[in-house]
Amino acid sequence: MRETITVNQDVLAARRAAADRFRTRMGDCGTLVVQLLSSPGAGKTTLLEATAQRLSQRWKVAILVGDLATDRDAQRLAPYAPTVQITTGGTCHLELPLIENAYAQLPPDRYDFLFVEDVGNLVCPASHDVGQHLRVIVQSVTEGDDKAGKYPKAFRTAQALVISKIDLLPHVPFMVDAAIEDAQAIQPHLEVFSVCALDHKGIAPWCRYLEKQREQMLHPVHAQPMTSAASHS
Amino acid sequence: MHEFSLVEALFEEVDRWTRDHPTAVVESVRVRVGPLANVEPTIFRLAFEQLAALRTPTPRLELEEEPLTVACLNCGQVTEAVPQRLHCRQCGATDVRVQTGDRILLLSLTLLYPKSSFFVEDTRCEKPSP
Ligand SMILES: Nc1nc2c(ncn2[C@@H]2O[C@H](COP(=O)(O)OP(=O)(O)OP(=O)(O)O)[C@@H](O)[C@H]2O)c(=O)[nH]1
Ligand SMILES: [Mg+2]
Ligand SMILES: [Zn+2]
Repeated sequence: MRETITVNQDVLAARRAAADRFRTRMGDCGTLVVQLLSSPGAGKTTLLEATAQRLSQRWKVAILVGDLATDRDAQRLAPYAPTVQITTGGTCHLELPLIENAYAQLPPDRYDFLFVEDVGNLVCPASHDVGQHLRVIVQSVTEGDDKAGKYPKAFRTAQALVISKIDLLPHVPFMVDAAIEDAQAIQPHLEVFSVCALDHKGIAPWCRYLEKQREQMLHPVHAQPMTSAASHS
Repeated sequence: MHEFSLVEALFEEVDRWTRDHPTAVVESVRVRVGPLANVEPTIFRLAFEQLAALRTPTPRLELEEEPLTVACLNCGQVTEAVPQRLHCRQCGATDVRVQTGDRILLLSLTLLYPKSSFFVEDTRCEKPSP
């Protein structure tokens, strides 16, 4: 006997529901979860060094950082905030179980910000909801200003774009306006920041944005509704 | 190579649907993916074949394409779009909600109830009576 069952189900829905539970749990604790996505070497860790240094003057910050191998990024970040390195051993992206596991290894505390640096890759992490409230793309000026159109999923599912290494603008043919236009053709609500994390240029407005987002998460009445599943498009 | 992880999620969903059919085996799985699903069809098929080979009988994949459509928040029209430019074809607005084409959709499952599964019940009848 043969039978066809109609399903019509998004296969990532169950995983997204699990991510929603994590997101809600973190939100209830007052923790804004910020996921950073970029191609390798765009400057995620350097941005987090500067960000954690600034935010930890007022807030409790923790960091989870994913790489295929080594704990180099965690060593760089440890001076600024409690950090757990996730080594994926070859997997190209982080997933929620890895995040939950790493989160449990942090010193128990009520954190205001939990940063998740995903594996350097603009493709695979874009498909995976890790329970973040905010997804942020870091795009360095040395990558070219045409990246958004090539990695539409990542940009569509992001809420903010950080253009990094702007100190190098005089040396590379990167048009900031063209990059923003390309990105906003995919995600018109993208908030854009330009930074040089090495000398902290642009870090203050970026941190104010994060503080505002956390404020809106805690008191959503005055805020634009925050997408419950941040990676829904 | 995240297609493996996505196919794992697919099989998790398949298993959820077949839980209530313990005697059935999955003959084929119909899946639809769109341009914004972040799936490379060839790699997806390869990943499916590898994970399907762990099952007996090996389920077959029927992969279809889903068009990318957006619903306009300005004029309400649903139009087709391309991933790198998500805007309304009708009025040009960029404030749109992706309606289809950004997901991996499990459409349907074809289940087989092999003869052998009826033997399970048959053996009960064959039990030697005391
Ligand atoms: N000139 C300049 N270099 C920078 C800046 N930010 C980062 N870099 C350099 O870019 C290189 C990569 O930076 P990382 O912060 O390690 O980049 P990442 O995105 O964390 O890299 P992965 O984790 O390996 O993907 C390092 O050599 C940094 O010093 C910047 O604002 N300006
Ligand atoms: Mg890094
Ligand atoms: Zn319209």
